[in-house]
Amino acid sequence: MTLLPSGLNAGLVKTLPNGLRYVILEDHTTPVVSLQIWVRCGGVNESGPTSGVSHFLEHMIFKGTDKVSANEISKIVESNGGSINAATGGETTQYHIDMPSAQWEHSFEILAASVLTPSFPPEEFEKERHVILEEIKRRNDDPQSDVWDGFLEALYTKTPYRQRVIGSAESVQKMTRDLMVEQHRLYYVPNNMAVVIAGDVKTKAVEKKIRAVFGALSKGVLPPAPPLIEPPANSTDVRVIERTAQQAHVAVGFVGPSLANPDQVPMDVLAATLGGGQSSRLYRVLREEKRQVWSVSASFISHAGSGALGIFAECPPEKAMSLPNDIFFLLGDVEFNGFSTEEVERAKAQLKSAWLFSQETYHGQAAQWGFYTVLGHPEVAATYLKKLEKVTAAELKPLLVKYSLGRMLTGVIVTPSSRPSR
Amino acid sequence: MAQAEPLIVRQFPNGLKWIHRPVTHNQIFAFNLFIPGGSINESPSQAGLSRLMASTMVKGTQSRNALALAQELESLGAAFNVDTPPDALSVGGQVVAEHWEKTLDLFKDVLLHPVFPVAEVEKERESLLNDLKASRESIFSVAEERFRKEMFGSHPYGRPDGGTPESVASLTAKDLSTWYGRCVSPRGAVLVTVGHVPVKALTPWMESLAKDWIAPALGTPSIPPVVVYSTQSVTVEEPHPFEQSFVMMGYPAVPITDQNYPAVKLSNVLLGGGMSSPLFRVVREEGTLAYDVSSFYPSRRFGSAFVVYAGTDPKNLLLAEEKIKFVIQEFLRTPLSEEDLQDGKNYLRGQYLMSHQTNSRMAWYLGWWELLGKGYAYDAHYPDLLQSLTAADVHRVAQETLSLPSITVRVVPPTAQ
Repeated sequence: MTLLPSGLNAGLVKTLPNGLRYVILEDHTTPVVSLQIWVRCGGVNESGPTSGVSHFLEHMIFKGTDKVSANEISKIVESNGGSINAATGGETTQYHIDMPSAQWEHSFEILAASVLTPSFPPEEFEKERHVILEEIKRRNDDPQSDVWDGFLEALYTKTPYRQRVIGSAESVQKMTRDLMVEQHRLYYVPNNMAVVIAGDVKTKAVEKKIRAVFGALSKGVLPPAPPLIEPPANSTDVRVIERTAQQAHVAVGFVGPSLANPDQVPMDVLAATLGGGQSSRLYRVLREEKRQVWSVSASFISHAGSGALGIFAECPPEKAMSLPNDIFFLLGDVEFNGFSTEEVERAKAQLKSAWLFSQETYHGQAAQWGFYTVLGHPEVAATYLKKLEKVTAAELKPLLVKYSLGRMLTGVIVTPSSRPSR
Repeated sequence: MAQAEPLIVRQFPNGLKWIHRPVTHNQIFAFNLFIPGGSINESPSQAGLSRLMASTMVKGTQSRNALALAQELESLGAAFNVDTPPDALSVGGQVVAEHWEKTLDLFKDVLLHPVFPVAEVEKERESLLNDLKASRESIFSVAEERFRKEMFGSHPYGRPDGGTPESVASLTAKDLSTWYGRCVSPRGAVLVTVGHVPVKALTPWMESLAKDWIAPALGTPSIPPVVVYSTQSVTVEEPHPFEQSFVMMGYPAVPITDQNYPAVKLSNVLLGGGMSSPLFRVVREEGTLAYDVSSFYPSRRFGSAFVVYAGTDPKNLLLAEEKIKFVIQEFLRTPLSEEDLQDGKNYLRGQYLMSHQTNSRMAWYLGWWELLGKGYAYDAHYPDLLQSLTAADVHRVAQETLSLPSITVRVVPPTAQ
């Protein structure tokens, strides 16, 4: 096992001739393993009638292969003490099994077969449509769904990051098995995937298995990549959504650098300094001093294309409409006066801790590597802490000026309606 | 696999017990203090007192105001986590191991010298009132709150842990200070540390805490009466404007101190844990009635409940309920096979193993078992106890539990009543 100076697992990172990338993080501290397959396929690879197809596909992956049924898949994994699950995002879909390590090989074979050669039984497709429609209703009941969707739709006017990953009730009702099969054919190819295995395994044995399962697959011809760089905003746009809710939610921000851009880690620090803890600028001013919010935070959302710095707050409805303006002036103070070294060092300390805590589980380690590797940048996982250490207070003010373009904030206010909007 | 090092355990004269698990495979130090009692000792008119007190404890001490505390803590990359489940007050945190001492010094300051400034009490009250409101945005929380009220009645378990808007609105800074003086006592308290810190360095610090933390003159408030469950099955409707409906059905279940506790845990998992469970299969996979369907059985000191739930379309609510009842009846009617039994044991043991990967969870488990009367060593014995259960044990316990009078809560849109 090779360790980074931080003590974290450096990982073995390789690529097969057919383009499949894999990462193996061998560690024998706990007899547990996380098996993950990441596919670069998500909301950005959809439009119109295919809205929600990647998520639907994710649901169908565990519905059986030619050799094992859906029930057998979960039974094999769970009877070995494991859990199996998946998640779809804007750019990626990840499938994982976390389990005691003794039976990892068989479970890995099942996971890979499910992802590569699912049978998509037609009767299961129709059943799963109903389940997803229930998931949509469940999501609609949560005001946070409007906050998140509204924020992305306001921020990304040209790029498909604005797409709702789950789709809509209409698009899911109209989804066809053929559309889903086609999405699988296009994107579930080895050169569009990453396999990450972390935990109590032997690297050589894992490499051998990965090559056996994936090595003979042919490279796929991928569709043209969608445009993922958002053009600069030319106006402020904060939309208001009224709905059933108990409080107001505000989400505003601006578009930022892509994953390949060296500004990536400094943007993390900018977000954490602004709103990463109870001594942060936003918390101190908006919650503690002015008592305009109950909670407020900021974070930088990493994308292969344009990322986003978001500021998220919960507040009494009567204070929501003026909050974007208050944030605007607060950012103005930063643009004018910058941050102190102490503020920035606090933010860095928190980010460092958060990174280390996320690596405590094999699932956390594998997920970090999986996300960055499938998007083409495994080096981020290996170099994050080193880059974090180098960020200085002096570089954050120009960063804010560069990306906020005069503090043009875009986003959404979700506020209680006197009548339910749904 | 790395061998676990032996625990270090010290019982101090002031009543505090310290448990330390040395860990050398990472650079993290985690700690968790459990103090017995809390919301379970509150009167109905002061419900939420423990929650408000706990959140305000970390907002100012005799030597540091809220901002100074936050700045010092965050400069170390640390944060405190405060929780108030019914049976305990829990304050913990984690940090990169090199900063363990400074972090614990801050922890000691908030533990021994909080001042509950009026302005901070008001801010935390607003925050808590908002949390209580925000919980009404979650259909699961709405169902669970009503379920607890119906299942546990006037017992403290029947109230939301954070109190009610009325009770929270009435609390004063003096109430918090008085409650702190009565409840935050080293008697029966457990402090667990897990991490890469030499015991030689930790021990003097712990001894200093034990010396300085004096038990209050007033005793901890009295233990509440035992739970009295309903003698009849009850079904109630909770109207609420959600798109979905929700059904939560539960049965009285034994407290953690009962010898049947592991068997109830296992039967709960066999019924509704995981995607291969009968509940998931019948209600979601075959019935396509729900996205969210599962079961749970909280570990409680004085009494608990065996609960199943599902979120579904309002037009399918009664059908979902019938399916759940069918699954339960089939589970009771059909003898448990050795294969299913072992599968369930493996699943529960596997999940338990995986939940012990982080220092903070290891600290939590050790303290939680100790606090609830099972002893910290139960953490290591629990998987073996599960393994020792027979099919007959589990089936008998399931029969006893699932034939008691049940409480069913249906969350429905107002127009569907």
